[in-house]
Amino acid sequence: MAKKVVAVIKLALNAGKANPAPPVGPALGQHGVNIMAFCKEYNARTQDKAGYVIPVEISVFEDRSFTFITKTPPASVLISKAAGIEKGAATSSKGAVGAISRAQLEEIAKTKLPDLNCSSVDSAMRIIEGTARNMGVAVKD
Amino acid sequence: MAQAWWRLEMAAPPELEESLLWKLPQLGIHRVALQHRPEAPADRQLVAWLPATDWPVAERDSLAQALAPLAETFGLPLPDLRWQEQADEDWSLSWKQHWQPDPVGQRLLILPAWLDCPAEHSERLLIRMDPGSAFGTGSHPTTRLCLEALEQLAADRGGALAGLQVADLGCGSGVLGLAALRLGASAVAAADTDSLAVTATTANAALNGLDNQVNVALGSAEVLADLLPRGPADLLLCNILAPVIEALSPAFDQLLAASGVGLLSGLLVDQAPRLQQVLGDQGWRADLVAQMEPWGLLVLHKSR
Repeated sequence: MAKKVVAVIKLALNAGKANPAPPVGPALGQHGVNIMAFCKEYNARTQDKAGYVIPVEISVFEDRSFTFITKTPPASVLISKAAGIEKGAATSSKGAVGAISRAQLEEIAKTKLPDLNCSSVDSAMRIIEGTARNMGVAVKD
Repeated sequence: MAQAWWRLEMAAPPELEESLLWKLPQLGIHRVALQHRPEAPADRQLVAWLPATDWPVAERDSLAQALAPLAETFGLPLPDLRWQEQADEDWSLSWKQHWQPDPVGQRLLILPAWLDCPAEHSERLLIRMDPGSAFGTGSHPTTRLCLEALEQLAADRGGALAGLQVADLGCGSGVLGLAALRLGASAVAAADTDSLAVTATTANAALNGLDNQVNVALGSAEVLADLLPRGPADLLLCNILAPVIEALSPAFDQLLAASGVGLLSGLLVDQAPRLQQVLGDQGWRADLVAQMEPWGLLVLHKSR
């Protein structure tokens, strides 16, 4: 049918655990989206990935119906995995907790490119490198 | 109701988004949404909900300091943090306030599944809908154009679509087929390429006690043709976008009998001439009979 998207909402949710509490309830409810239908469908699609954060992008149409797609994992998860660390630095002690290679950086940038709202791998790499530095993960040439 | 949340809103430039998504959970802020208008994907707003009891004013004031270094990395200023109190509510129910009984035309009423029929609409034909992920909740102009055209078709036939076999191509929520049944059609064959639509049509048919008159399958025109045991239908419903209707039009001979009527919508009024030309070349006459700006509805007959 003639679908026109009126709002796009991205949520970082725990796989299989979506519920009407914030952020889902207020973020989607303001558009009249059927909250329970969304939770049920998200949980059904992600239940086999329990323990992971699976970002989801919801498109709300003019008639308040919706669709959604699951997105790539957060950059911080990919960076931590590449650096072999649990998570980033608790403080901003940059360069303190681990390192990734430039090749790993490029691979992560390519993986994340569709979701980063930028047009080139170069600009995606700059975003990922900055994110890594913020996490205390150095990029080694 | 006691205030239970602080709602934090700030711009999230593309460079900063992933850093914020990393840092906020580290600070105990897990309830985060990013939203934007479809025409402005770079103009993203981050919204987070923080339990009020955990975030007194001193904690809220210190958040900007904790986030500022993330922006400095990219040579950006930290966007302003805007705070708003938000009362707790039962969000599993509150979205329903956006939905009300929706009279269409002279005879139909689309009723959200959880509501009783209001007395002032008791004479109308009810279509109960559980709005969800399939398009066609009744509020879109193209859906309304089709519903009103169905009513008009019934009126032209003495008040009912008695005995008609209906084909609904791109059925979405199933609302058009269900309306045809309420207006007297005998059976609906429906197809959609979206599995969520197939699920929704099945559920909505059951909700209306019409499941034994609706046959729905996943697929496009060929699948729909296979669902028509008596051959091409008497009435074809097709509310999709104009280019899709054009692409599907060569299959209309398998879906609509030579004596039948088609209702085509989902097209913009200025797309109608091209579609009329394409359909004309295939032996169909398509008349633009109704408009709800910017949308139009074509009624399809076999050319004599």
